[in-house]
Amino acid sequence: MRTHSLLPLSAIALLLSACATPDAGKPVTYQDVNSTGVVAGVGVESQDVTAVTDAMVKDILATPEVVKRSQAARVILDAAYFENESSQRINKNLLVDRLRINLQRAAQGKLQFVSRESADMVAQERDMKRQGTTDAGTLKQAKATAGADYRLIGRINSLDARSAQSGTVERYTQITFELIDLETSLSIWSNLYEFKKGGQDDAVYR
Amino acid sequence: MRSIADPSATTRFVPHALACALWLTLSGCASTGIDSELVQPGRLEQLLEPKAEVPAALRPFVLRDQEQGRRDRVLNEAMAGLSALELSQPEIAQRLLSDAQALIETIYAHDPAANRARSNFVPEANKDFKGDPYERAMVGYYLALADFSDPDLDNARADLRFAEIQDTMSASETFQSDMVIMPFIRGWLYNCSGRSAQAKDEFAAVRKAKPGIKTPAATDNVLLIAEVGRAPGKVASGRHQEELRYARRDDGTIRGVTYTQDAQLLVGQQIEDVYWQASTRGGRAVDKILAGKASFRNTAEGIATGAAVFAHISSDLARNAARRRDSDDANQYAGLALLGILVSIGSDIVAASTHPEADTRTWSSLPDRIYVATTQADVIAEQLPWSLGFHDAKGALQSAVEMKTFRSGACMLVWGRQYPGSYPSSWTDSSLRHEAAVHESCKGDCSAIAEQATLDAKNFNTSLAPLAAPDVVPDNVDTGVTFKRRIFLTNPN
Repeated sequence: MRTHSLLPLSAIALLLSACATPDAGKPVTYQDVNSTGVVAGVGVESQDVTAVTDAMVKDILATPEVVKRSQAARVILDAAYFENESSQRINKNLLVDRLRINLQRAAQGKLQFVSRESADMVAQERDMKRQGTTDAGTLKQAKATAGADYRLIGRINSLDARSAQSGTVERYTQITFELIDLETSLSIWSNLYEFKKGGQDDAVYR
Repeated sequence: MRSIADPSATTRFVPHALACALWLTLSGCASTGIDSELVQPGRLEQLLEPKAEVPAALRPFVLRDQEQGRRDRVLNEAMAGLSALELSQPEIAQRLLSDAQALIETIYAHDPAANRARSNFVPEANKDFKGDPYERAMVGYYLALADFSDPDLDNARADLRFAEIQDTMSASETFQSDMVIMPFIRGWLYNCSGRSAQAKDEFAAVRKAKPGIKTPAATDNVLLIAEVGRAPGKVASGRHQEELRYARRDDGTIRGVTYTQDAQLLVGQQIEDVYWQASTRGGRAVDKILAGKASFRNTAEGIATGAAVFAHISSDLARNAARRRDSDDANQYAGLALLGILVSIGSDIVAASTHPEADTRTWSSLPDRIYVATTQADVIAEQLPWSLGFHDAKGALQSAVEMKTFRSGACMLVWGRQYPGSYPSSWTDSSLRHEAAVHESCKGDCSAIAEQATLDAKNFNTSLAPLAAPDVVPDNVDTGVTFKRRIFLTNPN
């Protein structure tokens, strides 16, 4: 009788032991910005931002027309004329800010950067100084704000392909950069960065 | 051989004991097979920081996200994002919908939850929700509306491209990338950015896909969007609910829309049929997995039935032998009966633990159809809000709501919905004002609304008769099966 009563209890214990397998989650960790993260897609990711901007900094600094001038060239480098024509929503400042900051650090005075984004802020402060609302500060007053020689333009393009049968997703991304002479509209430097990523979703998502 | 003093008592006791064990087991872990683990709990709450500014209508989604975790995050974020748009909070909608979009874009390879969803003993609904192609596309569509508030319209156009790509998952090439609303809005956005060449390309794509659709003039800086009807439904059918089908949930009473402001009246044209997009996807790879699970369950049930019959016969033979006082035969048959019972119970447990049910989680606040109109207006000047009227096939006004307005530079997006995405509704009734405006504009002859309804029906191959025909819903749905997982209601409360 005792054997019979133990049999169902053992069966229940065995089956229930397979039910609960809670996952405690993962604590936050710092990750290398150049690494492929655990959450990966086929679009532009952090490692692409660092790779593309590093490559452009090197190439611009190796262009004599830009950096080997008797007077340092003035460049506007912001996202105003940087277009996103890709299928990925992206904050373009990630690219242009990293490019400008790294270029400014590496150029060591061979390039000067004009901030058009700050034009309103600068104009307001200049007005206050000239109207006597504030004193003149410690810097020498300039007749006008700086004009620029070159401006960065660029475009992010993508070409997507998907196989309905296999669920394979591919995206070719092309990021172009150009420096335009703001007097002649000549393009004095250009380069592009391209990559293609592909992946296949689990069958349960197809 | 072990002797049994009373073989008939054994044959009575063993089935009862094991039946109890079976019942206890099945009522425990094997009822749904859904994992209850939470991965990154409360992510939605983080996206809505600071907490004090979270609108009350979004709090139910936060609570639901805390409860359901990553598995339903895309669904919760999509629904909360839509509700944020209804509350005229495009920045919040951006945060929520862009996170949902990133999760949809993530490639799930070697993902534990997806791996488990392929197992015979775990339902498909165990996987993280990414939605069907039409639901993924609508994430891109609403994100584009939210991104319209940014001065830079690049991301809004990128969202619409993302949406279009999701539609390429259709098995039939005929239905791939046929969501004409995406190039339509993109073309209008290009005009807003002063890029008329790209706008022309987009409108050419619209006319190629749907020759009956009128595209906007280059000077039209106001786009009016109306969302009508209830979301397409997902129905699990088949013996084990392993087949996923789509059902039109809207009754099709509303067949036309008008937009009014002061005495101005515009008649909307239908630009999208969301149910059509849902129902033309074709076969899915996961359907084969579910069919395999169903076949496995059928086999397990067959073995259970066969073993039960074998046990029953053996039990009868044991009882007869016991009556004859032939203890050797009685023991032998009782042993066989016990074996049969064990095999039957084991197979029953396996069958009951097998989950071939299709995942029917649905974005239930989507519309059934979308209508548009464009016009030219001075968007800088203070204006009366636009009103959106819903009309039947004969042109009679049924109801009207005040529309939401989003501005970007010289362009303006005006948006309205028939059914709210959250409660309490943030759509103000404007029926009286709308009715007066319609009468004032039409001067007693509003035939243009009914004519447009006829044209829409022709463009989208639908009849003007009620849309949700009874035979649309599969009649072989087994409502007696206990596995019902309604994750979402339109009302999050």
